[in-house]
Amino acid sequence: MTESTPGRRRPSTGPTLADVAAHAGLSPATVSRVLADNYPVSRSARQRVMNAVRELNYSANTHARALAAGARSTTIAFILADVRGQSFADAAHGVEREAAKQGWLSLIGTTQGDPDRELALVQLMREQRAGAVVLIGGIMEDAADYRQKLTELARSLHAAGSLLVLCGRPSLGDDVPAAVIEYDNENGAYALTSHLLSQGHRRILFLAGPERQSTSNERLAGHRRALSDFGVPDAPELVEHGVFTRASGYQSMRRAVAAGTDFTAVFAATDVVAAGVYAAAAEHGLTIPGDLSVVGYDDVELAQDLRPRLTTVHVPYEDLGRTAAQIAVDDQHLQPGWTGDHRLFKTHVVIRSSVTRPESPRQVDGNRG
Amino acid sequence: MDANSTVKLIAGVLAVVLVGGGLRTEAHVRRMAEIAHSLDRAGSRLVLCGRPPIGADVPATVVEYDNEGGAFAVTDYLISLGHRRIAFVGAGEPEHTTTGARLSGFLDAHATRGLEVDQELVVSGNYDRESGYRQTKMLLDRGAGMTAVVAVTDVVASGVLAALRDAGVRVPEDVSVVGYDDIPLSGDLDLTTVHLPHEELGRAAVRLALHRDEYALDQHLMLGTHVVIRSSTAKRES
Repeated sequence: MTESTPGRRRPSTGPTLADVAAHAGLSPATVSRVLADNYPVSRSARQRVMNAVRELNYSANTHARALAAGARSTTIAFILADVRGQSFADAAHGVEREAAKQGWLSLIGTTQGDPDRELALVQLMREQRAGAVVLIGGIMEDAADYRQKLTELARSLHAAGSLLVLCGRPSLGDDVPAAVIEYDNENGAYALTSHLLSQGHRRILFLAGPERQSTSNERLAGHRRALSDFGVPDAPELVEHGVFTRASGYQSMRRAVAAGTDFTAVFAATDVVAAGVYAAAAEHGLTIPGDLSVVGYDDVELAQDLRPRLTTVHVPYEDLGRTAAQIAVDDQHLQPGWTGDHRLFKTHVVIRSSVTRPESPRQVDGNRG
Repeated sequence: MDANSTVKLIAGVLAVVLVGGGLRTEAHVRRMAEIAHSLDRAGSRLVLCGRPPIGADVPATVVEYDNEGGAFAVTDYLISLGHRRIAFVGAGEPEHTTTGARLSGFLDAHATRGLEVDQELVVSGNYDRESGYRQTKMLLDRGAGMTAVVAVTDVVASGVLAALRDAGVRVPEDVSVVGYDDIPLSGDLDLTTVHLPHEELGRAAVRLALHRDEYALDQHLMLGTHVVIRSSTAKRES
C-alpha cells in the first residue's frame, strides 16, 4: 500500500489511540506513554494497554509511525545464547555485514540460554530504542508464559517503530507483527535420514538436544517421518537426549555403547555433537565410516575439518543473519497494513566421507543385539 | 565449441555455469579442461553444476549431487518391496554422465543384493516422454515380464505411465514405476521418485564461484538426493 494521495484519502476506519484508551479505561496520555515507552507507567496499566492494542488490533497511523521511526536508532540488537557456537556466529556475521553495508550498527547480547534473560534483554533493547531486535535459536515448546511475554514485546516494539525478528525459531502466530526467518529444518533431517536408510542402515542412533526444544524436535520429527516412510520401526532406545555440545555427544555415545545398544549409524543433532561422537568412537576403537557411519547437522566449518569429513545438512546461517538485517533496515514494516514477514530458506544434505553402507545391510534387521 | 572464442565471448563475466550432465568422452573432457584453464587465466571461473569433476588439476568449481546414490536408493527400495524383474528405461547414452551414474546405481543395487540383472530389461532411449512411451511399449510387446520400471527421469516416467495405461496395465498393482528428479510433474502424477535439491545446486554454485577465496577448501561439493515415496509403487505379491 502506498501513501494516500490528495482526493483519495482513505477513510480512517481503524481504531485510534483514543479507542485504545477507552478500551483500556485509561487516558490517551497513558496509552501514548506506554506505546512510546518514554515515561514510567505501572505494570498493570501497561498490561491493560497492551491487551487493548491486541484486542483492537491497533496500529499507530503512518504519521505517528513515521515519527516513531525517526525516533528509532539505526542499531540492530542481535541476541543469541552464546557467542562461542559456530552456527550462530555465522548468523551474527551475516547481520554485521549487512548492517555495516546499510550504515547501521549491530550490537550483540547473550542469554546463556536463559529465557528470562532473553526477555530482559529484549526489553532493555526496546528501552534503548534499538531499530530492530533479532533473536536466533530454538525455544522450549512448553513455555507458554515466555511466549506470551515475547508476543507483547513484539507488539510494543512494532508500535514503537521497531521490529522483532525471529531467526530459526517458530512464529509467535499470524497476528503478531514480527518477522520470522526460518530454514527447512524438518525436511533437512528427513533428507539426511533417508540418505542413511538408502545406504542400508536400519538402526540409527539419534542424539537429540533437550526434550521439547524446538530445533531438536523438528530434526527428530524429520528423522521419524523418514523412518516411517521406509517402514523402519522407531525404537525408543535409539533416541538419546542431551545438549548441543561436543561433551554431550561424547557422553551420549559412550552411554549407548556401554548399554550395548545395537546401531550402525549415528545422527547427531548438530555437527558439534558429531565431533563428540568421533572422539568417543576413537576411544572405543571404532572406525568411521567402516564400523560406524556418522552424520551431523548445520554444515559449520568443523564439518570439513573432522576426519573423515562429515556428511551433514547445510543451513544457510549467514544468509539468515543477512536477511534479518535487511528486513530490519527496510521500512516495509513501518507501512500501514503490514502484518508480518515470513521467509523460509531451504536446506540440503552435503555428502562427504562419513557414511558408508553397513557391512551386511540386511543383518541389522536380525538379532545382532 | 572453440575454447578461445568462447572465452572472448564471455570476457568480463565473473563465472560461467554449466548446468546438467555432459559427455564423458575423452575429447569432451579435454576440451572442457582447456576452457576451464582459459577462463581461469582471464580471471573468470568455470562452474559445473550437476556434473562430476573433470580432473583434480582443473580450476573449476563443482557442485554435483549424488546421482548414483539416488538411483541405488530407489532401486533398492523396489527390491525391498519384493520386485526382482525391474526394467531400466532410458539407457541410450551411457557416456552421458547423468545417464551413466543412474544406470550404475541401478546395477549396483542389484549387485549388492546378489541379484542378476536381465540385460533384456535395460533398454535404450533418451530423456523424452515419447522415448519412455516407445521403450515401454516395446517391453510389453516383447513380453519382458517386468514388475517394476526405473525411468531415467520423471519426464520419461510420464511416458512409461502412458504406455502402461494404454496397454491396460495397472500402476502400481501390476507394475510399479519410479522416476528421477522430483520435478513438479511427479507430484501431479503421484510418482515415486528421487529428489534433487535443484534450487540449492544453483545457489551453492554461485556462492562458491563468486567467493572462491572464502570457500577455497570447499570448491567441490556433493549434495544429497533421497527417495520420495508416493503411490506409483507397491509391494510385489509373491
